[in-house]
Amino acid sequence: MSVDKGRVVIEGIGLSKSYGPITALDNVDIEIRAGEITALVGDNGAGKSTLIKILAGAVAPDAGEVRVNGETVVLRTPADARDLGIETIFQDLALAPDRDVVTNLFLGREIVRKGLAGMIGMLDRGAMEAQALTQIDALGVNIPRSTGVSIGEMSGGQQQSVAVARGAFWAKTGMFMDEPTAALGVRESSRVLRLARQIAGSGVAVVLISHILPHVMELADRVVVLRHGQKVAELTEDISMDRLVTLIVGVDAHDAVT
Amino acid sequence: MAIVAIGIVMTMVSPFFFQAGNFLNVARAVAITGIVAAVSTPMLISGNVDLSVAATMGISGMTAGALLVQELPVPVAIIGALIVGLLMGLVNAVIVVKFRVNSLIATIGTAFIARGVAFLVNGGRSIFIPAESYVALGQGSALGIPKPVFYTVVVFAVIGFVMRYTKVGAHIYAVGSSPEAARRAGISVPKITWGVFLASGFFSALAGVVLTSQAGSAFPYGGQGRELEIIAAVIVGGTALTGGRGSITGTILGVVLLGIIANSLNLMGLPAPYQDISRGLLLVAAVATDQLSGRTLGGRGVFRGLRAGTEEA
Ligand SMILES: Nc1ncnc2c1ncn2[C@@H]1O[C@H](COP(=O)(O)OP(=O)(O)OP(=O)(O)O)[C@@H](O)[C@H]1O
Ligand SMILES: [Mg+2]
Repeated sequence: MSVDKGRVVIEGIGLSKSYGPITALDNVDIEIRAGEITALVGDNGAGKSTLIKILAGAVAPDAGEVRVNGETVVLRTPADARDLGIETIFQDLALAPDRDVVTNLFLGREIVRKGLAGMIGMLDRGAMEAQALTQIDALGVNIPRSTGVSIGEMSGGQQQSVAVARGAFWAKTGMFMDEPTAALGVRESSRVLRLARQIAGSGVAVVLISHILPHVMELADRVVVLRHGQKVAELTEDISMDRLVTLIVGVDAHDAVT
Repeated sequence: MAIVAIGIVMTMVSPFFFQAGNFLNVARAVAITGIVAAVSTPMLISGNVDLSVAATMGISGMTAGALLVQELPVPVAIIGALIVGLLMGLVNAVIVVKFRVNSLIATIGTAFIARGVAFLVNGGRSIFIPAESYVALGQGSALGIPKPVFYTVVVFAVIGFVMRYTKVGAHIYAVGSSPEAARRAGISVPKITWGVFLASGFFSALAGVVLTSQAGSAFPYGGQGRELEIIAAVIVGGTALTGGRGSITGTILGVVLLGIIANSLNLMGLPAPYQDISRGLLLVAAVATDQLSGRTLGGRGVFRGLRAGTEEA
């Protein structure tokens, strides 16, 4: 995959969203670049998930537009975004709990057999299992390799790993990760973060939402700060803990834009 | 291994049970229930339930009878009955998908309506079916097995194949497991819902056709009360009423188990009310077992272990 690091591939322009009296997102512009990790930070309720959901097609904005590779797109469903190569690891994961890892990895994108069997929609379970296991091994994520274990029977961290593995498997243009390490242990967290790096390294535009500022400082090429639904800063250098905290909670009034 | 245990107990109780012909008796007795239980399995797995299946059997059987009395050809009568079944499915789907009515409520409503209409078809009277070739469809044997059993086996095979080996089956499981996850994965939840209701109407109508050909008459009350027996068989077989889990293999076992119990009680000379009581006990015991032990283990229902490795696709 060609890595044209720094090229803007996903843009949100003037995005706004209200839920009744609550303004979740207020006229936000954002540019997400190939090969970079853009971190999205802000307090609870700052509008991070709302912004990601709009870019992922899960929520329709009240105003504003989304562009992918320079073209305005209307994302009616997450499947629309997915078709453009944009994967999202939602905060609530969106896995089918009664199904196993392989089935979830290929949910909605099942491989069917060749020929007549494929025409009647017969699954190629073997191919899916092989690819799924290769992916799991490649990522080094800690999920049972045995098939037939329901997602719902796994730990929260393992479930999160499955969601991440699925995103990584399919992401071509962008990958949005909404608090992907929230349920993870130390080792799993660093695996997922290394994975985020790896995915960005392959030229995908990665957005990482996280409350864990050391992770953000370690990984992000760019940090976008949201407060009360507004974008208050976008930093590419001098990303210090103090500065981020100040911007996030807003005690210091001078909003820096680098 | 409840089914084996019951088999052993019943063998001791009744010297008749393991005679060759008796298995066919059981199979014949559960054939029609089996057809509808087969299609009710994807219905429940998708997170819906169709309580209008029995009424659909009744109204489609009456349709076939009415068309045959008009001396229309047998295929026309059958197609007419199946169309009525599809219409039932269509109406149910519209109510559930478009008006967002819970499927339980929707299909209780349409069940009443369909049953009422079935009684209006011939002024509440049953219809004697004059066409011998129609009656022959439900009587006698094909390849050495009673014809209704033959149809049931085919229906189980087709639905079992779809659920286990195809994309559509995988999507039905996904929708029942988490509609939101399915939606985000690009699976159309309404399409799946439409599909399961149309299939339910179709196969219930088919069961109505088999029922009337077997009986040689169409009754407005045909199939009445069977919906509960059918759902019981599916649930005893380990399918979750909450969706996402279950298998055709389990349903086959559920249907056969309920059939064996009824048959054994028959052979023991116990009257019908005892069959109802034992059905009720089995259903409650099966679900209670599921609640107590099945949830965190691999298998579920009374067939834990027996179904290991065969469950789902
Ligand atoms: N579906 C919804 N209905 C009503 N209000 C909503 C909905 N989704 C978000 N909101 C509101 O919009 C605001 C922004 O929410 P959002 O989930 O985007 O915040 P967040 O930055 O992701 O927070 P967190 O860090 O807690 O995940 C909040 O006030 C929230 O209550
Ligand atoms: Mg959030």
